[in-house]
Amino acid sequence: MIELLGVSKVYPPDIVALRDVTLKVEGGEFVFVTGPTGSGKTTLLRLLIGDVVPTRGRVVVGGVNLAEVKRGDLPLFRRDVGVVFQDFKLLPHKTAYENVAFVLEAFGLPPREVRRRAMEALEMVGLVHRRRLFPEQLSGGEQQRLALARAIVNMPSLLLADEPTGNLDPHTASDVVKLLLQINAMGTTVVVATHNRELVNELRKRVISLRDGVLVRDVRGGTYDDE
Amino acid sequence: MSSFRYCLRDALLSIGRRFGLHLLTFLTLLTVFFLLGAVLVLVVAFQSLTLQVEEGLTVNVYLKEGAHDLAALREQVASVPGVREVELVTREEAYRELQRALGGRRGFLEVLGPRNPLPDALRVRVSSVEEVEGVVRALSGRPEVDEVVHAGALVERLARVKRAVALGGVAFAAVSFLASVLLVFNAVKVSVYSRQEEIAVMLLVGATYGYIKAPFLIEGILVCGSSALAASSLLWVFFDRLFARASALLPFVRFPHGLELAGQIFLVVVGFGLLVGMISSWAAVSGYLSFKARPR
Repeated sequence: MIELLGVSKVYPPDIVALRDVTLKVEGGEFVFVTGPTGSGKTTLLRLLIGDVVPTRGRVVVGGVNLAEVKRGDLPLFRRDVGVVFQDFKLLPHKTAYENVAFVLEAFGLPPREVRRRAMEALEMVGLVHRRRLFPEQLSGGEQQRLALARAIVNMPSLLLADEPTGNLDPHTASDVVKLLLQINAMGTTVVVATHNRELVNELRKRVISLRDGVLVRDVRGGTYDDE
Repeated sequence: MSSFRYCLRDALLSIGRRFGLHLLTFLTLLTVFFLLGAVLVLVVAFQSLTLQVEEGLTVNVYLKEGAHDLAALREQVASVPGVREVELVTREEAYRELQRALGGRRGFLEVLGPRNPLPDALRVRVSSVEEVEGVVRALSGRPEVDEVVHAGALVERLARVKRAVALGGVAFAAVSFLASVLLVFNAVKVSVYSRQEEIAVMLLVGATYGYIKAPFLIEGILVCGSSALAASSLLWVFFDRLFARASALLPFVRFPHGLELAGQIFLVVVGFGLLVGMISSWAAVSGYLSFKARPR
């Protein structure tokens, strides 16, 4: 599903975000990306969605070499990748339903199909009864679940989550994690960048650790701290 | 079609959210479009007036006495560039015309005596005032021609004024175009910047550039189109009355009025407004997107 080969990313003037990272993630895997702030986790996720281009190396996602994707074709590629942000990035002027539905509207789906899929996604995250509320009327946990619903509404084969539990209390974070596992169980590859030690230790999934842009650890069934 | 409905809804919401800004833009555009429309209507009216003058514009070519092959000469003159129509007026016809023109004042003809003193002539109609000078020059040099009479300086002045008015109209239209494009560009740019987070999210979830641009395009077109429509309505009411009065004062001049005038104004001003809306909002949102959507 994901293949990074000797990938480096340097932001101008000379800020090294990633240094010669090589890794491979198979389809259907659940992967944690850990590391301190500034270690390159977010840059890694941005590379996977084609939001930034590597300074060196090759990024292949779902068999697509992102260096070869034309700018006009990026939206098509991104339709198969769901993204969840730490700060949710919900659209404040749209209701919960509209926040999910607009993704499908943007793809040009007919209204009936938009409604069906949006309601399914909202049902999955338990927000059908809150669909008419605006993001500011939802709790932090509900906002993150809504962001998840938006990310999965198109049934992507890859889900990227950047600190999805960063702003949540432990109980709410646990709900979000359950949803991530549920989505993964449906066959979606899930990559989660996180600082959440408890989460990583509890789930015992594959853990990739970055430090100063260098991949320092890649362990299956690992914990947050093991060497 | 469903995408269009969503984009239209987004555009209307965006206009509602920045109603003050859009109202200001609407009023400013209304003024610009009204002034532009007024100038264009006046230019067109003047061009129509000169066209009527041109249609009646005649160069009289008096021929020398003697035997001429008048039919052949007429054909030759008709082939001169700028000549629209040639009418042969024999000296007998000219004499009869003079008799008709003088009506009851026959005493004047008696002074001339029994001999017809009038020469054969060609009445030449040119295609436009600009052609008069060339036609006169071409005909004056012919051996059969005795004298060429035309409106002279008046014609040249009319041609100059016609050119100046047309140029002025084009210049004013160009300035208005630029001013209105900048106005709408700024209004749409403000909308784009106030929704930049939304645009960033749309880009990340895979919305096409067309889907992202469409609401802003519709927004620009709606603001421009509505102000152009309002300006056209005002122009129509204003000029319909003005031309009705002018027609009463100058009955020999034909001014456009009613639906003919409305058609001209609405077609040009609304068309202009829609063009401005499309170009400016397209430029505003495309510039932003081409910068933001580029992977860094």
